[in-house]
Amino acid sequence: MPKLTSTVTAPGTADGAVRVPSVPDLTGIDLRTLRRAADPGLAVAVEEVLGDPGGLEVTWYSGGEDATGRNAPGRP
Amino acid sequence: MTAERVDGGLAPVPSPAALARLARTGATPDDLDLLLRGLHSRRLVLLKSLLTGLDRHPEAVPGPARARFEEHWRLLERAEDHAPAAVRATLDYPPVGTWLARTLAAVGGPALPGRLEHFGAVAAAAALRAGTPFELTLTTRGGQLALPGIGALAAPAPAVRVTAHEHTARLTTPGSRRTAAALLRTGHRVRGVGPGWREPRRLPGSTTLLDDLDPFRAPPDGVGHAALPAAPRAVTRDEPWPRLWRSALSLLRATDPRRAAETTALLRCLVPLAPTGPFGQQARRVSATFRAAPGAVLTTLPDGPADLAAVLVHETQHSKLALLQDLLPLHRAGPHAAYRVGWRPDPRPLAGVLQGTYAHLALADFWGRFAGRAVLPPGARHDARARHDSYRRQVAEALPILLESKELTSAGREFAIGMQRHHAGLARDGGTGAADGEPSPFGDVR
Repeated sequence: MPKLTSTVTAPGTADGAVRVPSVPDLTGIDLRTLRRAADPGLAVAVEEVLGDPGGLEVTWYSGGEDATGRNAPGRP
Repeated sequence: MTAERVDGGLAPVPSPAALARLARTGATPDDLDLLLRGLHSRRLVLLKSLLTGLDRHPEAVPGPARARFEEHWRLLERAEDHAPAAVRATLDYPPVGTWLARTLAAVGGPALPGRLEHFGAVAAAAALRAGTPFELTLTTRGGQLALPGIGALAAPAPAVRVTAHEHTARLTTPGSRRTAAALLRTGHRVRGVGPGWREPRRLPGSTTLLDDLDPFRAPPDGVGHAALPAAPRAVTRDEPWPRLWRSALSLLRATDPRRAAETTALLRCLVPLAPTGPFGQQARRVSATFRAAPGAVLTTLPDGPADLAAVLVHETQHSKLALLQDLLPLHRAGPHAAYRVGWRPDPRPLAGVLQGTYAHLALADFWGRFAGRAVLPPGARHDARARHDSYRRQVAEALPILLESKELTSAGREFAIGMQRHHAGLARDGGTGAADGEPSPFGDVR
């Protein structure tokens, strides 16, 4: 059975700071495992998504009358 | 339910060397592989979020719709058992990300059951690619059944029956014995024939699709102030997209082979945009990337190959940075628009400053290299040099915002310093040294 890689710490930077990935490593995880998984790292990522689903609906665009970047409707 | 953990595994964040390469707007094949692994992990996080949302709001989805969702999920699992790469390719296809974003935005609301129906088409597309036999009746949307990355059947019926075997499949409408479309699988590619069947064209020299069919290929509210929608096949079939693509890719390979390689590695689909929005407002030279759909470039018809090459360079950076930010947060800034930049009259949030600076740095690099090509006529070289100068100037104005920001993470600071170094290198290597602060004559840097 594939195992879920959920790591909330990763190699430090040159200045000693710890990098915290916002997406857990789910490569190699099958869908059955994903469905059952109650891993803390994955749970944090899920709460981030469900807490701000509008954050996914951002478009970066350029040209026309506009320039790079805008938020989707409903976003400040 | 118990948590499953790996034995000492680490999340695949980019190494400092990889981060430095990405900051220079470059990437090795390994860097790109890391970004694509992050893309798949992100897609699975969104799927898990959908499952969690459904469990938290059981009242939002009527029993029959929930039962269909479960049937579709089981099909996806079976397809994965058979051919995991085929399922991954389907889930990671950009319009599937857009559909997931729209569906997650509807969790708990009345629109959710309708949005969920498309999951059946996603599962069917994966199973068709995998060669998994199945039978399924799928709901049509807007008079068609669209199978992501495979094609669409125009069907004046509320549903289409799909009967799939290992190598072939048949699409019929309920009550009719006539086959509306017959599909044939070769490898993980599925092609079809039949009245009303259309499929995205594969762009020459790549695996990138010209997607003018998928209902989720563009943001629901369109792109830009003109709210440009995706252009339909009726328009795009008469436009020279394959020829432009071939020429743009050839130009990109001649100018910077590594950038051409990164473009073809990351780009899954090119989505033509209509030149006119729903309120009649027209716009030219518009291109876009949707955060939920990295790997898709949305663009109006460019003026020529060089313009399309620039669009590909520009939008590929947005995809790269979106994927990198998911793997390794570069900033913790919110959406508050607080910073003035040279390419827009209104204040921008830090995320917008970072995205714009990065894309423009790549464009400055591209146009500088383009201007250095001796085979070009003097006029084209002069024009390229002017574009290089313009983009370089915009980046020079925006970099201090990033370098002085308290909202960058330590990785973000490393990244900004890397961009600054690359920018300094561009200034040494080329450019006419136009004075900072002059109005920019080119498209997205005004």
